[in-house]
Amino acid sequence: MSKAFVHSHAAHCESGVVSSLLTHAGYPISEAMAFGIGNGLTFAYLPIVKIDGMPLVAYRMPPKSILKTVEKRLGLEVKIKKYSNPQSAREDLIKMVDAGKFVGLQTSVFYLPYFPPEMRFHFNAHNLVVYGKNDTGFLISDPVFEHPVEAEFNALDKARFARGVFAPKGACYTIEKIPERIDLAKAIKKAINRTCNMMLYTPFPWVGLRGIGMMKRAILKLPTYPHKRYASLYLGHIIRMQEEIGTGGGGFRLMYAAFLSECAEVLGREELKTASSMMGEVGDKWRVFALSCSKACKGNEYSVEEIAQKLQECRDSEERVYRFLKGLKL
Amino acid sequence: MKRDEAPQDNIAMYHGGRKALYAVADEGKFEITQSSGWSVEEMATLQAVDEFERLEREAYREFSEGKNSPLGVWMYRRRMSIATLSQCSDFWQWSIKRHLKPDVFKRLSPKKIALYCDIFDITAAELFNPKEPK
Repeated sequence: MSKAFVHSHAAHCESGVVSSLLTHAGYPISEAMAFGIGNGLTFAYLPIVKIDGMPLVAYRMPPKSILKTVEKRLGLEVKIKKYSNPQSAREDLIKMVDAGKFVGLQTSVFYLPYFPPEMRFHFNAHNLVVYGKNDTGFLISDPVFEHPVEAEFNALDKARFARGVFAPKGACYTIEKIPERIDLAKAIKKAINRTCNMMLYTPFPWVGLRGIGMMKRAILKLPTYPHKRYASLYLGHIIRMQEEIGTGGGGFRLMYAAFLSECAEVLGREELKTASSMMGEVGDKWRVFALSCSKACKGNEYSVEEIAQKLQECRDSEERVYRFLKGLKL
Repeated sequence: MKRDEAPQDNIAMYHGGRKALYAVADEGKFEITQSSGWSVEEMATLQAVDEFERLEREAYREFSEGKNSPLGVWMYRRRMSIATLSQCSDFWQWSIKRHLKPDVFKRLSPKKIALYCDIFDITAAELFNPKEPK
């Protein structure tokens, strides 16, 4: 494992780290593939869970789920460690790095010094890879950055021991073992079916296509709020969850399209290429939706019916993709 | 989205950095494309930042009028809401709302003050006397 580290630029932190760690451990895998077989794609709208007073809108599964699902699907051995204090966490990390290991870390975006100040928010589940150290700090490969970065020891300690929801508690992980034979085709089939089932047939009203419907109804109710600012902040919040760094555009739908086109080659099924371009159109529709939300945020005249209509189009075209994929009987 | 349709709005908050987007490359395959940002995303992020700054200025005004404790100023300056601060401190939201009152805040135990200092990464002197926001 003591070969040089090659940084690669990815769209999403968790799938990027999984892809990077696996590739360096001897099993080259793209980010989109890691995202796909990790069942990263979803939609969830949780009005009860608030982020700074706004309902939680998620286009992907909760943190750590990609890592854990990929581990299960490919039969890897991943060692996850948590610590009670920053000192032992730092010492342990130095030991691992000196042994030539590449280590995945869970951190808080707010405390990472190399993040632009405008983009620092309290999000505790940002993943990155530590691949070395120098006199002042650790050398970091942060997948969502174009080039490798650095963070001083103290700064990284703070980021690893941020408090609050998803508190990382110094969590770090390494891939210990990869099985000799991996049946990628089987993992792909399982993952696609699982994602389709979740999106189409979930019993929960706030997940999958039903969740999109719920968000649509919430948008239609926006004009009834007494504060005009609320509607604007609400729509801005949706855009941020969908387009801000780490989604690959269109709320992860474009990344999933990349996954499907890779699957077409692995499984040798041409139909998956059709599914891929269908999913690409879904991603574009989400971007159109974000654009119409942004016009409303800027204070222009807008109608919630028009925005809701755009959202309905996203929902309908997504449903077509999942039904198509189910019809393939993978 | 085709590769040449990937937004290149050179948004200021990336500070010259670029992010990875997936777009259709030449042979109809999706590949990672570098984007210098999308103005839609920029608008949404800056809106969130502005909202915190607005709340911070308001909290500072109330603090200087003696209606609010300095806790509110630091909370919004560190981009937290009452809910976030409650999760970070393990105080109930209603206790934080109490701590926002000047009289209650003055009587807080050194232990609680130390916890707030730790969360905001400041000294006690700074906690009691926040500088005016820009």
